[in-house]
Amino acid sequence: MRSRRTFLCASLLVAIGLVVAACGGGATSAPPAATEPPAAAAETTLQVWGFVWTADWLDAIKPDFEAAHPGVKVEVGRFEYDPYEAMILTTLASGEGVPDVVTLDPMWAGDLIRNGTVLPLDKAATELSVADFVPGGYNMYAWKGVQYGVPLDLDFNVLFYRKDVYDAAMATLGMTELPKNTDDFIKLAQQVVKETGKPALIVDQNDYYIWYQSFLAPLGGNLISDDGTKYVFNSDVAVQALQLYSDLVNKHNVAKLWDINTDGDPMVALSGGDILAVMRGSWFATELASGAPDLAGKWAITSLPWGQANRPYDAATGGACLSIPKKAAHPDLAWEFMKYAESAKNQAEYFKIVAGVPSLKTSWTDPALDEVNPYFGVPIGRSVAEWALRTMPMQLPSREVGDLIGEAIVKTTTGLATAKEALDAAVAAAPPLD
Amino acid sequence: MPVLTPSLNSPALSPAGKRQHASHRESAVAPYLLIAPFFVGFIAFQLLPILFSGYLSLAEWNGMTSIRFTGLQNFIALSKDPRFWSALRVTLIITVVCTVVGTAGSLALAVLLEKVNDRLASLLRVIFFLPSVTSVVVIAYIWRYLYNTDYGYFNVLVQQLGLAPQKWLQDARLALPAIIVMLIWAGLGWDALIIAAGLRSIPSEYYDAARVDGASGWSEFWHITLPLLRPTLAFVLVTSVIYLWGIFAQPQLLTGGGPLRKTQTIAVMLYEQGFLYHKFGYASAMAIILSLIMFVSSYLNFRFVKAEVEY
Repeated sequence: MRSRRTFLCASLLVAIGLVVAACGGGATSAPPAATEPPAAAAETTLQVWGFVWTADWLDAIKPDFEAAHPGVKVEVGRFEYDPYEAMILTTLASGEGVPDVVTLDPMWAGDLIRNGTVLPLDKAATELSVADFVPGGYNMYAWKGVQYGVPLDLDFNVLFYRKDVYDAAMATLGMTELPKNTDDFIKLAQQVVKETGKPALIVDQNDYYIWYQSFLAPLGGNLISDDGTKYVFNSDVAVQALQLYSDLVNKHNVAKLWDINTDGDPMVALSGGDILAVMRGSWFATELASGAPDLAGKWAITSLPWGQANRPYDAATGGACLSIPKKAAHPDLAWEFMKYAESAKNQAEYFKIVAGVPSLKTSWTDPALDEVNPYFGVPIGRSVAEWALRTMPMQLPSREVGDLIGEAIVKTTTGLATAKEALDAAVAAAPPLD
Repeated sequence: MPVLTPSLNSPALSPAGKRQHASHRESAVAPYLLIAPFFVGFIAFQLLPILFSGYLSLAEWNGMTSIRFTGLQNFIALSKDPRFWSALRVTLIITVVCTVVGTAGSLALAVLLEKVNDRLASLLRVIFFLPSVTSVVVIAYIWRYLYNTDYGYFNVLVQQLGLAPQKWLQDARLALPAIIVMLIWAGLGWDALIIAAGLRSIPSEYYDAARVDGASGWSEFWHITLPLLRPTLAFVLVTSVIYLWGIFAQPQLLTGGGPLRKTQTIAVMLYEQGFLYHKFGYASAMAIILSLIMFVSSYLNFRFVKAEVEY
């Protein structure tokens, strides 16, 4: 009896000790999915984080870097996209296990940059050939004249459309190519609606990203002034862009409002033939091919048609970048890795693995960009690269501002406010710029 | 003469006495060890985070830079924030409507379960209790499809009645009622089960005596069932109120708090402010206020229902 009680007490003490040890672990030492077993006795370990396919690319390029830097081991942390932002934030907040190089996404990079969590890249101007980058991609990660990230790829909206349906409508109207201005495209879209009885395209409800990239930028507007001191997304051009967004649905009756929160993923409707055109980044090509394989050969891609025919830009560009956290253990080595990753050879490798067109123009000579995409029947890499030259840098607002713009879109498209009223209210409610 | 407990090493203590003393000490310690895991977990995962949240409510912190003490600034800002008042209003509507209608519905269902035959009662219990054992995420996604403007079953029914299809979750006037309907449906079975158990605990002699006195069914319900069910109803009301004040998953999954924050509850706004906008201090202040509201609501519930019952 006594020995049993002693045994129970001892077991409980061990259990409590294990719980306390688990809770008090402290450091987020290594990322959850290191891709290789730990090497024996490297002098320096460089932690590099990427999400999904970006991590695959980092894994592919690291051996040559290690060979060129004896005593250095590159450890790649691979994360799924959705939890990646939270992982970065919690790691930076804790200060434990901070990686040396991080991949940032434009959806949330702005907050990190403005809060001083990543280092300014002072050497970028002198040690990188900045002119070799697409300006839209490179300047996106600068804030008040200071560079904080080096871009990887260019993510800007293009128009994915049902070639068979639109070609038929063009033939009826006597058009020989897809229009590149608003007025003519609306005429074509109206013909598509007439012939099919379905909306010619979808526009995303409550989505500032799509509106900003696809409408505001090509019409010449922006979110923040060039000096970074005030919001300008209620300018006359912005009002015009929002009015156009709403008119496509309510006045011209060519578009359907799609709310991802309530309507879900549009792929179901798209694969069923109910969606005839959609504006997305070039990454959507991969999703489309896997989500609607039966429609291979029926879809095409083109640059966006919004604005006047002689406009300077077709869209604003996003895209991921590499940055160095402020608390990185090896910032100098991290910079060396970033320069290495941004070589033409490695950026071409990026395109092959991630399928995103690199921001570095000198990588575009790789024949991979000319390979014909089996789903679309054209070399979309080369096409997207050419369109990329007509993109302007996207500014990185906070998520709160993005949501305020989303609300302005909802108010305008549902008739609760005019475009001017809605955008003025959004600017008034926006948090102060740092 | 006082009885002194000799120390373990006292020469006065015999070997048998020493063993008995050690055994007594072990048995005094053992209960604490048995409950210690709970308290270790409670302190680590609940008490410390609550205390930290209380501190954060008086500070400004974005999770990236250092914490800056700001006193009551967050609470003052909340009092002036129209989004907070909107979230408060939405949560209050959900809580009041779902509690009143849901409890009444559960009571009716529980009474029905007692009236029908056992086989039918068992089947109804399974059907109505299924949502309680189904994942909230699964339920939310199924209802999202039911409410879908183009493919949803509710619009199929509506069109068969000759009406135009509705944008259940996209129309600012309909989104909140749509969520309330789902919440009431999901909570019926669980509450009905608890109330049914309460109904069975009422001695049948009261009903027999009432029948002898010529009481009608309604009279029995009003004068016997309801009063004796008060403790059970108090429990159902309090747990419902606490649950509904903190409701998060269903509005977040169905509408994301939209359109235009018409379905944004305090918990959804708290999540948005903390984890999307990186305003942890502001979110913590909201958490403190929400906790106070839940406490006051529960207290008022108890007072209102007056759980004491006299037989």
